[in-house]
Amino acid sequence: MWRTAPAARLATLRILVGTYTVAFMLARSASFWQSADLPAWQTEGVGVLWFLDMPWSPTLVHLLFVGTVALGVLFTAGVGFRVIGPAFALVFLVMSTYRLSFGHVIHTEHLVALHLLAIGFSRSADEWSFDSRRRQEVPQDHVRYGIPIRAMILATVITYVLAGIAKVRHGGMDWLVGDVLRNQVAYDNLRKELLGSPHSPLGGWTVRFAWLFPPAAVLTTFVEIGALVALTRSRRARWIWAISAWGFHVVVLALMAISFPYPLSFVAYACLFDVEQGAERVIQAARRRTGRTSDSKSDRLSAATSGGIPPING
Amino acid sequence: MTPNVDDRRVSRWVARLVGLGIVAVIGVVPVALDRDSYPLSTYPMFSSRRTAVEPVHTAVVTAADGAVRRLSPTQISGNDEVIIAAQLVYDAIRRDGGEVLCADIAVRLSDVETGSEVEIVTERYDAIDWYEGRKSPISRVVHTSCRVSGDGS
Repeated sequence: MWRTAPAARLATLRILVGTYTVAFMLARSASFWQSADLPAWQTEGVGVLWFLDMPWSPTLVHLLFVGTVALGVLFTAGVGFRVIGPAFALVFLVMSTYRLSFGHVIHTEHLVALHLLAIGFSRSADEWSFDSRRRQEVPQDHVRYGIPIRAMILATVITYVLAGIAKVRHGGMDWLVGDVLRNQVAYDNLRKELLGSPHSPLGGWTVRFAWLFPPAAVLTTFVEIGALVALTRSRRARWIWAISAWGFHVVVLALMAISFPYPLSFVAYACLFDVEQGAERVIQAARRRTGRTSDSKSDRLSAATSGGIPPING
Repeated sequence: MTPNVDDRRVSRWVARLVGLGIVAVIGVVPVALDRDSYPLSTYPMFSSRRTAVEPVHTAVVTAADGAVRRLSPTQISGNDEVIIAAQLVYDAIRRDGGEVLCADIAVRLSDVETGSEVEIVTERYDAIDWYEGRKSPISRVVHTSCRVSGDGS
């Protein structure tokens, strides 16, 4: 956990995860909005809303949704981050918890909620933010930027490992070498058809080939438990695992019409990499296209993140 | 300014404690409690010993000529998440045989399905057979039905 990192890396993660979350909330706005209209008898609080036994007023839910999106925009821009950072992480947690407090927990928002907590409660607006726009010096690499990133990596790894363990724990050897995965794909698609929801014709066609599924099950478990390699410093191992995990989600989408948008967007894996270098390249390319010369702060930041000139105060 | 050795030692210990705390809270506690929640979870999705023949709880509309039409998750639950709709029907059947839910759906459909009947059903299919072209249900239980009146009642 004790590793230094550049402020720009954590800032890039703030921008990526913040942008993803705002986009996700807007894309799923109907579901968030409609959660105000679910029947009162279905209310079953989970997580931080464990005490919930009756729904909130629709007005409150709608205001909370709009407020969460507005906070998300400020979070991403790094405005008043000492307050906005923790506030957005917590309000998103409450809003997303409320949506899941009606009888069934969907597993698409767990990791983004945990990542937002790590980013929101750290100094992730020390660079590339509204708050830091007047500051000329580039912050030194520091553990205060490294620890939240390690926390994000740890959370990512744990979620995948737990998913792998659950399959072996609940499904046993049948999950790995039997028909369990094939039945899962067939049942899930059938249920969607019977409930008038989009399903995967490809998944329906694939279940005719029983021999495909045991190797797919072993591979799935291997990728999930293999997340542990992301804890190493090997960049190559991290890339291989992240692409494997992303590919796994693509296959789930193709065969079961189940979308896990956070990993599919690849933002879930951004914490594994030196994302600030990519961001810096994008900024430089944009500058070249517009013919704008770079300002001195960006030059120093670029040099610092690429290991060139030591940062000011270094 | 370089942090002194004591500061570095303290911060290393703090970092280790943070790491252990994360492992304990996100990794150990949910498994020890065996509880799927949010944002802490055991991530049990797709891990159950699913068989090919499982019940599907749903709601359908039967027209006057007997034709059965499937309803969307939004028409069933007011929300577009299919899992929430499925859970809602299951809970409704356990709660009161689906009577309240049936009436709710009938109200939602009153503009478009006047004269039809809403049925809350549990259907059993062999999911593998379904995709091999054999689509007859193994069993079909109608828990309750109610008429879509068209006057919003």
